[in-house]
Amino acid sequence: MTRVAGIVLAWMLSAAAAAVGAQAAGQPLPRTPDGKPDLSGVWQVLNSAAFDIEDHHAEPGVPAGTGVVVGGEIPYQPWAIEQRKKNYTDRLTEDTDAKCFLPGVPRITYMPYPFRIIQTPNRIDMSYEYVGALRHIFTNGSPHPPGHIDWWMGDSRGRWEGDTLVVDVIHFNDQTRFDKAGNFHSDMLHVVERYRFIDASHLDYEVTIEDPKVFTRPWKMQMPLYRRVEQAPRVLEYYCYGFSDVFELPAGR
Amino acid sequence: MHLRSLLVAALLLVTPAAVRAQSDAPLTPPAAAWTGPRTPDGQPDVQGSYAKNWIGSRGPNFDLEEGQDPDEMRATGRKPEDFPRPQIVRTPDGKIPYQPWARALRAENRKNFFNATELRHLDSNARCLPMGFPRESLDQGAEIVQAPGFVFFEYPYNSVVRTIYLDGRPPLNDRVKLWYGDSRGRWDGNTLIVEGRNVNEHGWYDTYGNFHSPDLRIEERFTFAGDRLYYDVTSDDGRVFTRPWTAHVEFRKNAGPVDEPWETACFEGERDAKHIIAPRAPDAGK
Repeated sequence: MTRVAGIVLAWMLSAAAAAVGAQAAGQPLPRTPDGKPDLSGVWQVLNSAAFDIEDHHAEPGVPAGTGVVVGGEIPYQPWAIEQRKKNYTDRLTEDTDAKCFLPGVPRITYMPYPFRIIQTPNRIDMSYEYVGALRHIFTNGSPHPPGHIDWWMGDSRGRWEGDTLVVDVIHFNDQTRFDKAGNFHSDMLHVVERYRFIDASHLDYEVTIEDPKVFTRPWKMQMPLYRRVEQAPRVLEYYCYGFSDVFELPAGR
Repeated sequence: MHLRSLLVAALLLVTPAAVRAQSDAPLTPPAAAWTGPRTPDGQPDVQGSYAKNWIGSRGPNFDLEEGQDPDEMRATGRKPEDFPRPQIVRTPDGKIPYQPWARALRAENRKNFFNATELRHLDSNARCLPMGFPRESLDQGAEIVQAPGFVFFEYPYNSVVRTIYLDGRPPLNDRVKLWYGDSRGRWDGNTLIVEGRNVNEHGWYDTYGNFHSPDLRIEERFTFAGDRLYYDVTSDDGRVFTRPWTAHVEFRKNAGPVDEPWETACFEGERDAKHIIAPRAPDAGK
């Protein structure tokens, strides 16, 4: 590529980016009566993070994917790398997805199922198709309850930083993993989620993961959430533990 | 004196029967205009937390029908006064109008519950499976949250959201079956009228095996008057019942602040079901 062509290409790309920005600006973000961004609606990811949050090639039943870990690497402590390998080998029986248990946060967000956000001034509820999970994010300024509490989905307290919803989540158990590939955390997990509109139909979802027992430093995941824009979208049911023959327990129990 | 005692005894015997006699007459006050506040999209604003207006086992959890089964009393230690009062099923005899085969199956379900040898003998709730609909709406207090085009019933007991669509969307295809069904509603004054369908057959009405088929069609009336929520649910299922019938319960709106809803994780810790049936079928729990 010549230098001139490179400059022209760079100009075209920046012009395109500006056009996208203008389009987004032309379409006002939905807002609630109290002026907050209105996240209400049905959302879903379009990625393969549920299988493996890191870059991975395909395996039987697993689509290939570029990961959602910012920087590409999860900064495990040395012992945790071994544990992660062990988790991979027992994933078909010991992972929450095999047992049909609540999958924790942020994993519930990037399970390949839709979820509905129900937004009220003091609480934002997220109702997920996957195992019928329901999260309450308290936005009334209340603190986390004292603990430690071993919850599958943690305790979520949210606040608005400008137009970004910031959710602080603690009080996890050590039974959930980040994906079906064995990436994991301890009960010291501290999650900070950031939900920010890119435009009316897309959210930027950024998650900071902190866990001094397992990682050498905090690290991030980032991915878009897509609004289900079809007419009258629904969140249906995926109660896998009540499947086909509800009279049998699923494998792994 | 002796004669008088006999008379009193006779009266005591007669009086409960008279009290228990009932009809199809509704216990819910007639629908009225809504005079309270409204949501931004114009719905009656009924948001808040609603609690059961009954005590313990007097509600619909165990048995929707009235009855004092001696076997059950022996097995559970329940006393006659623990049984549901007769106003839940709004038929003259307080019984659900089952077709003969269905009455026989219901009796078998109940018998099996007290002599469970297979997991299917236990109700879904006992196994930490979803309670399903309409059972959860009959038996559990709810927090109501409203949004434009929606009424959400959030049930803390199972951490479940039931979504009522007010946006006039078309019904789901009949082949789609859900534990909590598909609910489409509209407001008439102070009454939310909901059509429910697409309910699977895995959830019973109660613990002791009152049941319906996947053909079930529901009409619900949630009547909001004062601090009361009157709930009338009519079940129409030509495969199981001889005619539609209505169940009625009442809820009370909590006036003050309520506890934060915290996590409910039942199935994740479920260890009981296989032990309940284990003595007769050691490998059934797998």
